[in-house]
Amino acid sequence: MWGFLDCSRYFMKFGVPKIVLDNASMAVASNEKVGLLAAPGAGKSTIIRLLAGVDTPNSGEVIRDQGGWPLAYGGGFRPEMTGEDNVRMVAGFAGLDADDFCAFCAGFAELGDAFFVPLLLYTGAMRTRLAFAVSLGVPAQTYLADERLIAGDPAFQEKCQATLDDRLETAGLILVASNPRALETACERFAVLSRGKIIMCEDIDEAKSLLTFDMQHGGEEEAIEDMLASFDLA
Amino acid sequence: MNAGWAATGEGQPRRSLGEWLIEHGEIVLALISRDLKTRFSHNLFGYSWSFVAPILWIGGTYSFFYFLGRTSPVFTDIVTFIISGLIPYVAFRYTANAMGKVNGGVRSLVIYPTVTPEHAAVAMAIIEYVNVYIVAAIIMAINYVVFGNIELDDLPLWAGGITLAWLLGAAYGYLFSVLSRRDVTIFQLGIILLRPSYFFSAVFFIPNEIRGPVLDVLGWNPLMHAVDISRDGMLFHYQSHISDALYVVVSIVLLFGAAIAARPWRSA
Repeated sequence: MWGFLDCSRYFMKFGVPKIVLDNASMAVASNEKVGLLAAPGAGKSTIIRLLAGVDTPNSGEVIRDQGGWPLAYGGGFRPEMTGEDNVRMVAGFAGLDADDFCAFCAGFAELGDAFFVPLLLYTGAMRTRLAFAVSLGVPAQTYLADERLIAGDPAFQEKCQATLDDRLETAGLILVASNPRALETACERFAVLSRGKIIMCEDIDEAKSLLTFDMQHGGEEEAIEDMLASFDLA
Repeated sequence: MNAGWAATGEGQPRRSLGEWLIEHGEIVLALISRDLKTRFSHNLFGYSWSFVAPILWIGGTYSFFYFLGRTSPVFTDIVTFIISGLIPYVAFRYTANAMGKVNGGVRSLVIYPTVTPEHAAVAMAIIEYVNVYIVAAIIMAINYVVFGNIELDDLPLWAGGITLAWLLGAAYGYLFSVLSRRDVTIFQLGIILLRPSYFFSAVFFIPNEIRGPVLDVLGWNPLMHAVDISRDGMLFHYQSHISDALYVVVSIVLLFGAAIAARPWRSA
């Protein structure tokens, strides 16, 4: 089970509080595919960081499952180390056989000999390929994704999508994004982060309309209050 | 493409103690490998500083002895005497300092659900434990080659003193690294507090020669006991009458206990 229980998270930015969550609650089963729409700058990465346990809320409780894994996360890679060494490192973290994991990642990322050179020499696209290969090679119960599910050139995107579809037959997904299109194909439930609250929606169209309304009426308090009153506050 | 294995359920949580140890051991080994590969990657000078700094300490302490006209209080030469106190002191300081890298070092890794700062603390401590023996071997080899002196009376006792100093450094550093999760400046405070420790931890004196109220005060310093135990093991003609290994162990347990108790005190 994943989610938030009366969670609040805010930052002080230039002396003004920036609220990401305001007594928000959400519950997601480990094998559910849930998409959370949030306006740009609303705190998508903070939501993922809270769910991943990297960040802690100011109040309330984050419900976390042990089988979560960040999708396409390359932040843990060391640029001084080769692609192979980085993959072996993640294999150690995930408790996987390093040789098998390396074979999978080398084949999936299709980096050729570059797999054996330091990441300092990689382009952004090569790093992305490696990050996707590493995250899709780990047998997670739930994938945590920030903004995107696939990336790269069309052929690589197709491969990512096929492998992700295969993983999501048994695994869950929590995708936090500002682009509704990212949620449409992979998610089954939808929610919107609006003014610190997480609002569960009936379908993607309802989520899109709420997000659009929220972004268009950013400063109009009463209009937003009326709009929120018609939705199910999770 | 070998994608089939990944969804077979490998990597599920393991339950027995042996499997638990293997699981966490793999994470610690991965962090050790990561640290060593990063240290050695481009800046060998940076790593060699680990060995240069103790040699400079020896030079400084030797000059101090020379200008004060002080001789070794034990039947041995001055350099060997200084080395006998400096090696366990290095074990303590290097390990305490290394704990400062725990939080920052795994900041980008704790998003992986299996990795915690505690894994990094264990990894850093293991690296420093091995490091101190490399430092000891280099310094003792230089002492032998340059001055023709080398002493190692009781290897287990010497290593035991070093181990106590190392554990003490790990416990002290870990406590301040846990506290610094609330405020990063707390760790720096912990290191600043350690600065005078060089002068009252029996690096250049022996507890046997101090008496009365001075001993009553310095006797509370567990590092002095650990250094003295290690010196007892190294020098042929020195036997410690004051050091108490149990007192050091109790201090280590108390520091680790305080760190564990402080762990819920996270950043707001």
